[in-house]
This record gives sequence, C-alpha cells and structure tokens, in this order.
Amino acid sequence: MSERELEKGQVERFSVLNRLLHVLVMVGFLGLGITGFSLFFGGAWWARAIAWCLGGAAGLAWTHRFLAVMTYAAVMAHLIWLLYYKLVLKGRLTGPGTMFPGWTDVKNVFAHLGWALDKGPMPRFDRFTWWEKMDYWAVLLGMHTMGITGLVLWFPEWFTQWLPGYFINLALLLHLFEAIIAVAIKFVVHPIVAHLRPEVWPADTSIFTGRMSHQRIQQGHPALWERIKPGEGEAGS
Amino acid sequence: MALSTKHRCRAAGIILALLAALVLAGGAGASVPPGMESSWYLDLGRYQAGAHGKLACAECHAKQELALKPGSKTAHPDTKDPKYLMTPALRGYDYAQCQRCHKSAYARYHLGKHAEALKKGTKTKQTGSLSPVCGDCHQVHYDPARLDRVELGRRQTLVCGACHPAQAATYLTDYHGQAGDKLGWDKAAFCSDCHGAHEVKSLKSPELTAGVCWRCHPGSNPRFAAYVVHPTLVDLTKEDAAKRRSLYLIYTVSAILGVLAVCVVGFFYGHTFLWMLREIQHKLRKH
Repeated sequence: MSERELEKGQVERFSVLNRLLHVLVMVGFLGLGITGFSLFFGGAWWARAIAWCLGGAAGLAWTHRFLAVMTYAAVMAHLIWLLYYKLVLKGRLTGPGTMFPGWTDVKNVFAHLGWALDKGPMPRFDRFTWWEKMDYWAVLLGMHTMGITGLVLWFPEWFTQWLPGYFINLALLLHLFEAIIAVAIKFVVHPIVAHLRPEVWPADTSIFTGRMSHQRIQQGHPALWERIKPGEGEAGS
Repeated sequence: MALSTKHRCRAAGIILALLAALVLAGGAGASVPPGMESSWYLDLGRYQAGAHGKLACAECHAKQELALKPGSKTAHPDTKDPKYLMTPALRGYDYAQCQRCHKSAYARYHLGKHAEALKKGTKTKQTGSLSPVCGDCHQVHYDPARLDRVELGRRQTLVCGACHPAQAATYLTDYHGQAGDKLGWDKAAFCSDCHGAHEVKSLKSPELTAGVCWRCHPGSNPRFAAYVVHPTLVDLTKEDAAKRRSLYLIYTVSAILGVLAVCVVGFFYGHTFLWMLREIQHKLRKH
C-alpha cells in the first residue's frame, strides 16, 4: 500500500488486485441490487422485464446467487490478501496511510460537516478520507451479513436444523432492509461523492487506473501530500 | 413459441389483476369476479369454450329437465315469478351431481375444512361469506380446462383471496407468491400446493405442515415448517400462540430496521446534499 512514483506527477493509489476486486464488487453489487429487487418486487413491470431477460424467476434467482458468490469471493480474496500483506510482506494495516479507522476520522466527520455548514475550514485528509473508509468498511462488514442471511434464504432446510423457523423470516427482513440501505447509499451517494461533486467532476478514475495525480492529492489529501512530497522522505504505507 | 406463451401469461396476469380489482370493488361475499360467475343466465358461446362446453344441459340439470316435461310429478319453480330469478343460483344447485364425474374431488371436499364450516354454518371473519360449495370457487359454466400451473395458481390467489384477503396479500409478499404468482415461475408453490385443492387444510400444526413442505423442500422438519408464510394476525386463535409470538418478533424487528434505514439513508442524503451545495457555492465564487 505504498505511494510508489509511477511517472512524473503521479503516484499509485490502488494496487492491481484492489482495482480488479473493486470492479468485481461493483459489477456484483449492481447485479445483486437489480436482480434482488426484481425478485422482491416481482409484480412491477420493470421486474418482469428483467426476469424475462434472464429466463424467468429461476434465471433471476440463479443470477442473484451466482453474483452473490462472485462478490463474496472478491471480499474473501481481499481478506486473504490482507493476511498475506500483514504476515508475509510485513506491511502495516494500521496508521495514517491505511483504511484503519482512527479518532481523527471521527473528528473529521464533524469538521467536514462544519465545513459544509460554513462553520470552519475543510479538514486536511490523509490518504483515505472518512467517507472512503466508511464506504470500504460498509462493504467489508455488510457483505458478511448479506452473505449469512442470503445463505439462510438459500438453504433454509439446513439452517432450520438448529434455528427456529421464524429465523428465515428475520433473515429475509435483514437481507431486505440492508439491501435497501446499501442500494440507496451505494447506488446514489457513492457515485455522487466519488465522482459527480464539482471538486472531482466528471470522474475520479484512480480506482480504475490506480493512479492519482499530485494535483489531486494536494487538493483532496493534503495530509498525505505533506508526508510524500518529493524530496522529503519515503511515503508511509 | 416459448415467447408467445410468456406473452399470454403476462396478458393473463394483467387481466387477472384487473379482475382482482373488480373483485375487491365488488365487496364481500363475491368469490368470483362479477359477470364471470355462473348464474341463471348463460352465455352459450363462453359456455361452449369452457371445460364443460361439450356437456348437454340435462347431464347436470336432469331434475330440472324432468320437471319441465308435461305431467311431471317433480315440481319446477315458477319461472315467471320474478322472485324466482332473485334466489342465488349458485347455492341452490345440488352439487352431489358433480361426483358422478369428479368422485375424488367431491370426496376430498367433504373431508375438508370448507365442508366442515358449511355444516356448522360458520362464516369467514374477514368477508363474512359462507363457506364455499363447488360453484363458489369453480365457475362451472365457463371455467376453461387444461390451464397451466401458473394460470391456475394465479386464479387461486384471486379466488381464495376473495374470502381470505389477508392470506392472499401475505402470500404475494412471500417469496412463494413473488416467484409464482408475480414472476410466473411454475415450480413455485400456489395456494393448493400447500393447502390442497379440495381438502383445504389450514396447516396450523408444524408437524402436519412439515410433510407438505417436504414436497418441494426435502429434509424439512417441524422447525422449518414454523417459517411464517402468511405474516398476519388475522384468523389467529388461542392455539396459535407460537405464531403470534413469531409475528410480534417479526413486526418489532421490521419496525427497528425501518427506523434504522430511514435514519441512515436520511443522514447520508442530507449530508451529501449539503456537501454538494457547498462545493457548488465554492465553484461559483471562484469564477
């Protein structure tokens, strides 16, 4: 996770593996949202249209399960890589340059809100801002609850060997409400904040190319810039 | 070919949805859509297109035919009396006639809950209608033969739902109803797949229900069968304490999750909105 100098004026922000996993999770998430809500709102015209494209309710359900396995595999691949990074590469998982949340992030949430209300300066973000960490942890933790409740709905006969029957109802409720929250935020807030707001308009391509320009870092991540400014020592990881 | 069947299914779905609206508008007691029920009046064209269309009238209405013959000792009601046509046609018919062709269905009906309720004269709590006889669920003059599973299943949601609306509504929000009735998956369960067509079991005991679930879910047990397919408090009795407890838990959890969803989504939408306003203001100031 180091900011390696790629070519003049650019540093590496995301490794190849993380870029690939982001694309997988993005495609999986979009597909899961679309197929999942089509299954739940099967009476709606758009749900029937999507079901028809995928070969009916069975095709819809199996596409949903396939995408679920794919997305969960991406999350697991990331966790395995984190272990490898920590144990074999002896990398750091905590500290200012990592996704690990700290007290600074909590302060930054309020400082950032204060800035939006014109009550103070913009907080100086490090490599990852609080909303980027929130996006990351929401997926990393949320995928497990979606996965577990999804498995209960996929194999209800097996789970009710040791869980009462109404747990299937509760699993469905959790799966549904988490899907509503996740889709409402990841399909709307995430693209707006990551790409569409005037500061980054029209798009921040760093998650796909892995590169971020010095200019963007100075603008959006001044605390990181302080640490990695050329000629002033090695970057933290 | 497959395409046209699907289109027909969709068209049938839309028609049935319209009919559902008519049934609901028609009010209590109507178990078939108005204009579709068998009555004193017969639409011969539609009759002939139906499942019974090849039968002559006398095959089912033998007594009535006899009564009309001169010198007959059987009394036929006075057809010129206006009150005669106001008596319900469906209830007056002797449905014992049906068993000449539909022996097992007739026998099963008499073993079931509808026949039991009819004997007692009990009415459904939800619509106040009497327990149905053959003609209440089957439009004897017009019903088509050889409907596919989905068409038949969608009719069941309407026909059963006319007297059991809370059960129909909860079925439609359950995965069985979403996949079967709404998305037209023929392997999903429709009303009669679990409750039986003529015996109409109420399936209140998980032990009995587990056997029913087994048809599609091999390995199901009473615990599995305690899954709440119809999450409604309607029609619950004192013996249904377990379901009532499950339901209170389900309602509580969904209320908490609903509040949580509104708070989380509300916070992030509000925050993003403010943020956007601030950045737009910044950009405008610079220029």
